[in-house]
Amino acid sequence: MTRFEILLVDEIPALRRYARALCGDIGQADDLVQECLLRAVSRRRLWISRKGMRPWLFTILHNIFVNTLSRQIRSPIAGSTENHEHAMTSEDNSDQLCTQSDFEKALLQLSSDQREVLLLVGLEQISYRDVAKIVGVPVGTVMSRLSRAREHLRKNLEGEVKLAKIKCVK
Amino acid sequence: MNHGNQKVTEDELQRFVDGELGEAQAERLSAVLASDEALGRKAADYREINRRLGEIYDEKTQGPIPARLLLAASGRSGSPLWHVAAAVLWLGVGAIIGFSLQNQRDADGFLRPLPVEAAFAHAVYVPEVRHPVEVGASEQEHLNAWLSKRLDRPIAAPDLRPAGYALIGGRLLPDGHRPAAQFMFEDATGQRITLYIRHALDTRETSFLHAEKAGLGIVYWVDNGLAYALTAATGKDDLTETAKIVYREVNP
Repeated sequence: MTRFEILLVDEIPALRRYARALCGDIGQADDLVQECLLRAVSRRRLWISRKGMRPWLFTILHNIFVNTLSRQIRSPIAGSTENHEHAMTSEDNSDQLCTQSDFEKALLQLSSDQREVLLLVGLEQISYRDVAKIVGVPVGTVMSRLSRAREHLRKNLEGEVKLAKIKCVK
Repeated sequence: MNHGNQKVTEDELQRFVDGELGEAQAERLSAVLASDEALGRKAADYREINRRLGEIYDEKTQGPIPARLLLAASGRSGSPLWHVAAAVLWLGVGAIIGFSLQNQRDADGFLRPLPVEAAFAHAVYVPEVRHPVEVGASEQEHLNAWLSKRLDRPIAAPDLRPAGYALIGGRLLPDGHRPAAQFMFEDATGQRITLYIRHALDTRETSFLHAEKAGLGIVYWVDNGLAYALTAATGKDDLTETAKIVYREVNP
């Protein structure tokens, strides 16, 4: 393995986690990550090592998402899988039916650009400045999307039964 | 404590929660939040959202990394997106057909309006992983000569490297009954942009016009008998800046 490959593999868990939250579906998320890794490998000479691997990979992932998947994922309804049955296995299905919390449903109701920003900041802990570069908008826009996303989810926290903690009983 | 002078903006609150404030500012906010119940609760909720995102999605992606991803990281697997590309193509075609029907009154003769035709060509070829172009950048001279011959006008791929875009290549396209050209470019992150060129129906020169459809931005103009349309999934400002570079390249 080259140094590039080692650094790349190190980032896979973060990419999967982010893509999973973004798409709401693990099969689709892994398709997105796979495409991202392939493009990263084919552009390895364009990678500027001093700038770090993570922002570069997230930018590639963002572009693939915007160019392809974001137009497929429209107003996802929790538990509805007909849009992407090719990616679903029965295991994923049980995962969705049993543990998809109201919180996750609320997350998937956000517009994809608000969800992206919330996940990059809240889940991946990436700085506002880097998020702005990844998504290609000014920092002010990042912050207003973040604010709207958080307001939406906040309403959901209030009076919520903590379904997230209920595990599937097998 | 004097709250009148200590208004906390939404921006500040968010920066506080996300650790984007300097030490002094963060201390000031801590003090205000401690004495303002509503704000304190809001900050706690924002933190709770971050915490939950971590909790839910760490758990959902636990376990070994799928083999297909490890293979991809070493460049040894194919693209998983062919089916997605096909689906997007149909969605895109549907969206654009809707767009063109709406705009039929603008159409001149049987040709579709320039931004529609350009967005159509963009949506069809940009998701292509293996065959985005007919002739690659390595044969740029041949590409320029071929397209110039077919459009019967000197045509050359502009150099968009100042905007960070490298040429991938180009192709010849049918536009009504006449030929049109498409050049495709890509930046270091894989963001793709296309330049569509055809003979102008109305040869009066225009300023940069902007259209938006199906998540794509299009800046288009007529210059010296040719109609140009630059299309990408980016905002109007970025696109206009790049269009200026194209304009200068064509009119040195």
